[in-house]
Amino acid sequence: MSDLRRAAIVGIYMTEQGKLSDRTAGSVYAESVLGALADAGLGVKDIDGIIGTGPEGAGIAGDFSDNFGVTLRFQAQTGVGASSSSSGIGIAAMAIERGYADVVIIPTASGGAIRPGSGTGGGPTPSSFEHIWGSNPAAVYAMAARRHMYEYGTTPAQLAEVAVAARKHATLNPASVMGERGLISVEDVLESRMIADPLHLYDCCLVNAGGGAIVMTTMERAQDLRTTPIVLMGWGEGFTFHDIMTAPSMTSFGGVVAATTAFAHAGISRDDIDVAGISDHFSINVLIELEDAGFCGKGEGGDFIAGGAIQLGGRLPVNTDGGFLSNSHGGGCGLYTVVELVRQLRGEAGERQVENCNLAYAHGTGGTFQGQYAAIFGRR
Amino acid sequence: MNYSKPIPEITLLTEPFWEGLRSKELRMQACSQCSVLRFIPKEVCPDCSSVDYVWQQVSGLGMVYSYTTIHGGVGPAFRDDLPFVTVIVELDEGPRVMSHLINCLPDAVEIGMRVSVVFEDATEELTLYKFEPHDAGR
Repeated sequence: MSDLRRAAIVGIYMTEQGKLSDRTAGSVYAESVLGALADAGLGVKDIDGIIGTGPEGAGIAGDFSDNFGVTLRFQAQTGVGASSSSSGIGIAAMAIERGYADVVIIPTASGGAIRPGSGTGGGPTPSSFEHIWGSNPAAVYAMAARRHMYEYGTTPAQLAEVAVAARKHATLNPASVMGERGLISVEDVLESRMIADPLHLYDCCLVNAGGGAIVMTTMERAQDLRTTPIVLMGWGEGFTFHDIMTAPSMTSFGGVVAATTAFAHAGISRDDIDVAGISDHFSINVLIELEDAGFCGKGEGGDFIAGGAIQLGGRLPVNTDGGFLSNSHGGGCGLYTVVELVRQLRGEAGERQVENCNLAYAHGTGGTFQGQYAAIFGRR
Repeated sequence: MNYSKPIPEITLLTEPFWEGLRSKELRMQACSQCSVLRFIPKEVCPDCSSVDYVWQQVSGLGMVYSYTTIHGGVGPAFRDDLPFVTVIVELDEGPRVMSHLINCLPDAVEIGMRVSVVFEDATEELTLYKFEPHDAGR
């Protein structure tokens, strides 16, 4: 493939995140689409492909044509929970690089009455064998955390470090939902209400609404656009189970194969990464995915994140926007992880800018560890 | 009987499992080709891809593989039960099963603890499988 045909992110946008009780999901969606196009310097007529989920799970391509009056020649629908939108980035790159589409938009939105999981376009549905026990994501993540503690000696205080870092970053992100609440300490996390032992309230993600979008095109086309193109250098996905009872392990999942594939594809090492974004539905996710992605050995996640290592200024800043824990968990929020990495690579992250930021790693999880993708982005 | 919690969707595939519970039997699929037991019910053996299987009774004995005490964030049907303990039990025969641990104080649960199945009639048609410490009924 010629470098000119290579796929890059050229437009990003996020709406206000929060209650949005006076907004329909459709209006949040439209704002997201138009915002990302304006960022890129493109118009709706330039779009010929769409990936992700529609407002509240509506069929995406036809709905998009209805709303924006354009003819599309490529679509793909993804349904891996919170990663539904951003897990489309790999597919978008393949379509663009093969010439099936030239400009692909990946939007997500939720608004109005919020219910957990709304706007994600669906994801792995628990079976009756889970549902009858009132199980929910918190219970499954808590059991993964408990097992991780048993196998590796991980502590609640180490998990709390994830939430502390997320909140610190959110205070530097004016658009975050929780930033204005100020910093929290490890003790604050441990003293917050217990939800599913060992996960406290502050170990759990927000429940809010919001939207955003990403626009991708070829490097050739990107030369004429207003933003610094951010290239997808490596991509990988990983799936090892659907029902937690059948998972080969409760402390390691498809992230291993996803990250291995992505790093091999990009031809770089973990040490080269300047900033990371990792789905943080719960604090335990970040710890497990750092291990599975190979930033530290299996079981070493607790030690790796201790002492502010994943905070800005630490050895690997993670979720510099505040993540799902303190920035936003609205719609297919995995998309916001990528938006933040693009901002970092462009040098547009303001007070939370990572210095000399050239290579970024995204790790998306959907459902309860079922859907996993790894992406490596770089400046050109 | 008035049971307000979620009722399982019983399918052609899973019917023998629920039928077993009504007879106070915990049954799992055993692959006809490689004999490996599996749960939750699936059409294909994950070990050898055989589609042939028989339903086989298992002991109902196992150990706590992981657990969580739930303190909040549940639907109305489970609020009166808070706090309760959700477990994943690894049966002696191999498969893992999610359930509730009963007859045990939340503080007393630990990974590796021996447990055994308890059958609870939820409705006239539905019997559930829960677990308790193995020495609880003695």
